[in-house]
Amino acid sequence: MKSQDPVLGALNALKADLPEKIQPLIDAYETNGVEGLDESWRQQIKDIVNED
Amino acid sequence: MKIRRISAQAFRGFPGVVDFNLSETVTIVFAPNGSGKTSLSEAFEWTLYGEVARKTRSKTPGEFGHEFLRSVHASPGDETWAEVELIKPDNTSLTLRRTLKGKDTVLTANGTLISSVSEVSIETGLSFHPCLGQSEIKAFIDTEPKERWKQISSILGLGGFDAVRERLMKLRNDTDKYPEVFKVREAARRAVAPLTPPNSDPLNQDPDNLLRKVNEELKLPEGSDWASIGDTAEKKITTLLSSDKKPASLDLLISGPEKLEYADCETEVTKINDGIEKHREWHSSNAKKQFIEIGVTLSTVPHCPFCEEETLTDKKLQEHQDFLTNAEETPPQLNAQFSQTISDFKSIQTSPINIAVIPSLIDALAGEEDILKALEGLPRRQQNLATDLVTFGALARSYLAATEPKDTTPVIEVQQLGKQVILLAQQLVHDYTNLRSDAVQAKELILAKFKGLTPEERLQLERLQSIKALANNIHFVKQAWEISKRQADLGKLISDFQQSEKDAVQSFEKDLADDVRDYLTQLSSSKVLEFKRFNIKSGAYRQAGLEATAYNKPVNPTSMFSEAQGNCLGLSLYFSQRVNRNPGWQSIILDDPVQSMDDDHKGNLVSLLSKLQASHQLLIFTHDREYATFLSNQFRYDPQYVEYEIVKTDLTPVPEIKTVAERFEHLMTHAGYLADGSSIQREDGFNAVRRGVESLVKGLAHSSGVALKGDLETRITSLLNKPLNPTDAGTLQRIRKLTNANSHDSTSTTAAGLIKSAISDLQSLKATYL
Repeated sequence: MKSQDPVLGALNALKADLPEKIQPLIDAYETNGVEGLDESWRQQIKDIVNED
Repeated sequence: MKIRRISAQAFRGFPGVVDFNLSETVTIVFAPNGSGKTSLSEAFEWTLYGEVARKTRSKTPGEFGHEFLRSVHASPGDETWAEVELIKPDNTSLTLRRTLKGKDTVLTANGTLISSVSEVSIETGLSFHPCLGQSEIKAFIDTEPKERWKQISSILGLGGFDAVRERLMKLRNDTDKYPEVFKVREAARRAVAPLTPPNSDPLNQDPDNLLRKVNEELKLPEGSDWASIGDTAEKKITTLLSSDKKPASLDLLISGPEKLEYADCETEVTKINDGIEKHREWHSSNAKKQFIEIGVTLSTVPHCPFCEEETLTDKKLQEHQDFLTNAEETPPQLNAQFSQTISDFKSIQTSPINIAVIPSLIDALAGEEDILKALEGLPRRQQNLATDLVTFGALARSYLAATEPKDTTPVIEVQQLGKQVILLAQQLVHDYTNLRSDAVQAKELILAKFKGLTPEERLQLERLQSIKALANNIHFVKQAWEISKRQADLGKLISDFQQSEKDAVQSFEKDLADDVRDYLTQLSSSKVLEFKRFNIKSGAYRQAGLEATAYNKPVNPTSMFSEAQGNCLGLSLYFSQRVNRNPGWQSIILDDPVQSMDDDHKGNLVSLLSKLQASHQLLIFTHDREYATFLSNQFRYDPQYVEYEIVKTDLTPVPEIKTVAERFEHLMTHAGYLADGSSIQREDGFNAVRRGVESLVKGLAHSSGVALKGDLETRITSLLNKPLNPTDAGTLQRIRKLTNANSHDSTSTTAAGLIKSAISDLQSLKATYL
């Protein structure tokens, strides 16, 4: 049976010391794995570019 | 999780259907080479993971196409599939079946379609497979340190670090290539560059700093925003420009280059004029050449077919052939270059001035008579220049046409035409130069009167215009700054994450090395050969070396260990990883683990396996008869012990599967099923009960440490009082006698009752004593 993901454990341990805007990447990884990182990052860049 | 059964059809070495029911404790499969034991091991791997490690690790995976999975002897209508029945921790059953469909496969879990076993909570990473194929045993040793690093991090359950680190780095680097980012950065660069000190990156300017500096420069109140800055810059620009009286259009007056480049026209026309006669002559002689060639061909007919007169005398023929020999092959090229020159000449900017701005200059300079006089006549002269150019084109084309070989114009007239072309071209150049020179003089006259802004004012104007442009495009600058900042933040995540990975690996690696050392000590007979540790190198070039000693001197296990020692090290790593660090499985599957081991090593491995049996189900495949005997001697007293032998003959590709030892439960189930059957089946039922008695006796003797000798009756007697009480020993003897004979001939109802009663008694005894 699946064991706990040590990568997620490591990312969560880093979370508190990371800049606030990077933290959603870790949530995205927790939800959708590596693909979640892609989606979250692309969305962040789009949001910046679309900002007035 | 344990394995209850592995089945397959038309798979690898099994043309038909095969079922292997596994013991919950120990199952041994003995099969000579090429009989199908690896096929069975791979049926398990393929069902769960869709691949076999032999292919995954192969340097030529292309050789393992989908067709390698299908038995070449299978009936055409039989599908290729493999099935594994698992026992989950909650004791429920999970049946996985994978079917080959063309080049693809279909996987089901308890009949429901799934795409991967990860959907039923089974880890798919190679390091979590409970099976170790023959090709895998030494794979860890015979690999590059870089690859070994990946395996170690995977073994330690840290394999996901690689994927996440690489993806994060890719995201950070790829951001520079996103089209929207590129566009924003270009706009930001254009806006900031004029205000950036030399050698500074325009994209490295904090928008807040820019705001502060510009506010200071414009002497605006602290906190003024970019809208205020834009308005202020606009007002200052208007004020500056209103002090500049110089006509704005003056800078546009001169539009053409200083000189018309015209060097080749005269040279080329002269060359054509000199060669025109020779050129025409060549074309003429070429026509003669073609005619003679036909004549020479016809000369093969020596006489006219009508009057029989001789068609060509030998002497005449020789003359013609000499002519052909001496004829020039290609004509002199006279006018190709000139055609290009004419084209170039026409495309030259023959407008030295921009006459469209002259009316606005005249308006702006009303009253300045001397200047107006200087401008007068310029437009007309430029129009004349354009007309002359048209005339030149027409003349040049006429000249070119006349130089054609077929043209009948006398050569002398063509040469005259060429000279006219040269004269007109010279006239054009002269007029152009004069017109431009006069326009430049007029401009200097105007500038002398209206000097415009001072150099300092001009610099100030440029600065204000840059500030205004920056204020208008500040949103691009802010976006570019934010993107770079976000990339830097991502870089911090990557850096921190790499450190976490390094810490995690180093912390786990020591434990892993301890375990490997412990297993190797148990497996290896050599006490002078020691595995020390993994030599982990982190950073961009991650590597995991192996360190060992022999007689306390450092040695490299990859090159210095013998084949058997290497196997032991490989097995030690396997046990450390998949026994100690794979909580999902309570199964160990080993395919031919002994390979080149000697008897001492084989014995050590059996001894180790017997320890591991306490916590893990064992499934061992071997082609080594001696090793099979080692295993059988060790485990045969286990009442659940199962041993199969796969036999293949030269007569048929279908292997025969013999059950050498069966587990007690299986025998009881089988006997119960046969009890209600025909008389022949009942007879088999009694036999199954007898084998159950034998199995139970073996188990009782093993658990109580009693050595067994003699026939079954004697063996039961030897268990009296240790551990059996007299009543239970009597029960076993009664059932043994029951299975001997006579009872088989009783009526069906009676026989069925006897079998079922015996099953019940035996199960009760097993529950009491084992």
